[in-house]
Amino acid sequence: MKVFLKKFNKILPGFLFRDKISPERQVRYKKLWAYSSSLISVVALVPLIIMTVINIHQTQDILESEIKQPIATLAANAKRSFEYNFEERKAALNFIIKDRSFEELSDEKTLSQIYLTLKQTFGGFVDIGLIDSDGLQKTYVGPYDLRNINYADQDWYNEVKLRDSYISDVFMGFRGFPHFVIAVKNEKAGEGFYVLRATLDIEFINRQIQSLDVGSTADAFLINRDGILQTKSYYYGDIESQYINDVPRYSPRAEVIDTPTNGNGESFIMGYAFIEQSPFVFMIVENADQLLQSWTTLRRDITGILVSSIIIILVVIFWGTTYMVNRISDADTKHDQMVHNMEYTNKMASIGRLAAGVAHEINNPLAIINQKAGLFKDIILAQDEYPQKEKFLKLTDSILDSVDRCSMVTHRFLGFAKRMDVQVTMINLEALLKDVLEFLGKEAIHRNINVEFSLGEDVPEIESDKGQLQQVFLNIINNSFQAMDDGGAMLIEIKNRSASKIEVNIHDDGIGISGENLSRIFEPFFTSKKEGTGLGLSITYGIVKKLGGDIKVKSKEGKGTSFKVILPLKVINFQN
Amino acid sequence: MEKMRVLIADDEIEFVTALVERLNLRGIYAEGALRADQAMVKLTIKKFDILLLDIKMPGMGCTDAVDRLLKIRPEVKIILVTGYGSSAEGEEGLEHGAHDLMAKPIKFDDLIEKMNEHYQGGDGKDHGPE
Repeated sequence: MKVFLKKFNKILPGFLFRDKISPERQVRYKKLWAYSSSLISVVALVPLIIMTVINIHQTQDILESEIKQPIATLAANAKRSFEYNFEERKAALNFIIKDRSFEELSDEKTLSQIYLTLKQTFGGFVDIGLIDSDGLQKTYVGPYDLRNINYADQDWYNEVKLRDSYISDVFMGFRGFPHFVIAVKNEKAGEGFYVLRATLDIEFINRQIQSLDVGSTADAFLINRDGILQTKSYYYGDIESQYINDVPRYSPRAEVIDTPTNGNGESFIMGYAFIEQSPFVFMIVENADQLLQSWTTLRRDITGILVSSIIIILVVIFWGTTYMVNRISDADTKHDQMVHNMEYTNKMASIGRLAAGVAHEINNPLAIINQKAGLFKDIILAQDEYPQKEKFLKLTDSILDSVDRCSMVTHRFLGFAKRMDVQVTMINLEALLKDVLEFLGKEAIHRNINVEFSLGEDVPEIESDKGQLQQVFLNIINNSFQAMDDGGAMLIEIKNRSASKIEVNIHDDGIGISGENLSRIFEPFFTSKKEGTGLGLSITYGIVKKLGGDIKVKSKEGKGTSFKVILPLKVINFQN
Repeated sequence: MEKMRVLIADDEIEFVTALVERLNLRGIYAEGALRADQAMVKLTIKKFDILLLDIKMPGMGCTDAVDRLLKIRPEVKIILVTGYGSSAEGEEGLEHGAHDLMAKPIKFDDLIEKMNEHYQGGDGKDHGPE
């Protein structure tokens, strides 16, 4: 959980929460964040959205044409088949009326024979009648008694007079079942005309529709050109009901259109074809929702992928932008810190130079005062009789004491963290190093750092300053400990280097020092640590040099660091 | 024992004159030189046991002066004097053969002690005719 929070922390806009950042900078970071994230979002998302929309539309077009094509084909086939069927029956009646004379057809026996033949060969014929030019039905064969009915006033009769043939709408009439009429006319010059009228049951039309095998979701039916249903429709009702939508526009070909509704809010795809030479329009209606179900699923999937892509892209963009702005903020903070440090370093160096300069300038006149006062004292002491001798001696001593005090101040300035006087004692280096380790002991134990000693043969005690050497080794070992991981190992070697020198090697297996840092490691104020003053190792260096020794360092990044401290057996001493 | 002979090379005339007089009062032969070249001349024509040399002499660097003065009179014991406490130049001077380094202002008694130490330490050498 903690690890997760730590990782999540990287995504958080840390630049907003840092107290150290000035409000102007925060505004700048916010702007930078908003600007880059929105720019990247637009660039990344707009093409994706456009592509997806285009893809959806293209797929939809393809799918719709795939759905519409079979419907159009079916409607075209149905159109051809119906036209053929009607034409065939009309042609049969035409043949009969042209083949036989009015007299022959007036004979009921002959007409009966023809009626039977028609019923057997074509099917669907309910009755047949011969009508003379006055509109009177001369002969009738069929289940009803319709002889001598006059059709002169009826529309169909006038129609057939004009056009030679006629196919009626489907109607119930007095016969009580849906049927329609085919009538043909024969006219011979000078002899007037006569009409052969046949009634057909729509059963053969129904059979034909069934034979189309339109599937369970489809509804195939006929309407006339006024929108009255001619066969039963699953969606739109029974024969002679009004088709609720507009009759489609005439076209010589089969067409497919979207038709909005059946009244229940479902949408449909409709194929239709006008059947030529008849009042009929063939229609096939399929439930679009069912047909497009796979498409709906596909579109939902595409949209889902789009939405999740957008979310993922946005998260990545926001994470990336936040990370970038955080890094910039870090870099700025680091830069500020560096500038601050540099200013501090310069300040310290300036103070150091100023102090040393002042001290030096004061030391010279101080030396003169010292010698002049001393000379004064010498002269007084050399005289046996000197007026107020004691008083003058006191005065000169007071001057000399004051010079001493002044020189203490100037030397403190000059020393700058170095002690001037070296206090020499005999030192056992092993014991001294063990003292230092004891001082740091708790840390070593706590961090499970293993410290080993390797003592060379006949290593003598050396004459040096104990306190300062402790300081030297404390600084080095403490530095090493900071560079080491818990459980690391340290080796301290003490051995003779030459007749007059001893060397102490301190090896650690810590993180090591880079070449660039290594060359500056003893520079005052140089540090790679956040908390360091950069003075520890430079003081160490100064002390070792002052004690007449030398210090060297070798390091490999990732492998460890070795400090070599070379000390003379005897310090070449100087003091004030 | 022969009288100890000291040459004081420092550009501060007041310092030099006072010190010369004080040393003379104590029976030590002392002379002053205000410039490095003057010190070289004096060292060439006269014999001195001890040379008190300010590391900041006009006209010559510290190590250079030490080298050249020791060349003229290798047996002379050079005590460097500095106004800078410890300094790199002082350290270098010691490496180049100077015998000691003292920080200004010098306590007179310490100076006498050092001089005696070095004078006696160099005892037994032929100082040449006076």
